[in-house]
Amino acid sequence: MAAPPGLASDLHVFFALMGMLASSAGLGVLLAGSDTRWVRRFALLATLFIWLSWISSAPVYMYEYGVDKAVIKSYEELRAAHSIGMETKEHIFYTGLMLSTALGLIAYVLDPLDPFSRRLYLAIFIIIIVGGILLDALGAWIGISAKLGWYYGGGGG
Amino acid sequence: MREKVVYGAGLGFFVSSMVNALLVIAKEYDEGFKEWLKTVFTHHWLGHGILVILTFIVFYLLGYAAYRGGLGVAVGRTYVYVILGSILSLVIIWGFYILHFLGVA
Repeated sequence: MAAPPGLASDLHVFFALMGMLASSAGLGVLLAGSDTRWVRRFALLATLFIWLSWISSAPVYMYEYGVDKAVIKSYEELRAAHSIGMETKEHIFYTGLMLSTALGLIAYVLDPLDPFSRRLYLAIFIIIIVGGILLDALGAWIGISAKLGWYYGGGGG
Repeated sequence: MREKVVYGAGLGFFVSSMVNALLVIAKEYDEGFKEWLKTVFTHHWLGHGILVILTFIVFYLLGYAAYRGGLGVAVGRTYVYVILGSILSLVIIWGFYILHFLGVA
């Protein structure tokens, strides 16, 4: 079988963004303090989307990314994008996956309008949003490095 | 029941996020362990994830079974676990790869 094309970017980014969007919506409803049912629904949606992001990222990282990785690592000036960027991204993601799992369990039993539980929801939503932005930035670093690598290889350097 | 779920989720998250960070270091220093993950799970990253998820499940169940306090305390502890687990795993994983890249670790 021929090697897959590089510059892999697939459905996992969409699902991750949807997870962040659901968390943002949950945060908004929580701060408005209007309808607790929607806080819990958005929390469960965030859990679902982040799990879908993991499932859909597996073929990208395990099979497709290898082509881009080889290109990135072949240029000294790009190597950090894999060795720091991708290595951090692929592993930190598991912390986010477990946080989203905890969020789903908590949303199942805990009323967000309780004064002591509101703070917990706030913390989890904010960590998911900020963490998602961080992972997205690392993904952009890796994507740009892959493009530069292919460009160098094509005679652009 | 609610307090048990909340406490179990917090404990499961904290321990699994720490195991996540420790597995990163273990894989870099013990090539045999990384190879074992590849052999058993087809890819080290997949095996890493499955071990993290299993850790969450085990410690969720342990926390659920062992917790005897009230809901307010469970939420307070889970809040601390969430903040600490997130910050520590980020610092350990990111810090380790930066030091590793620089040849320090």
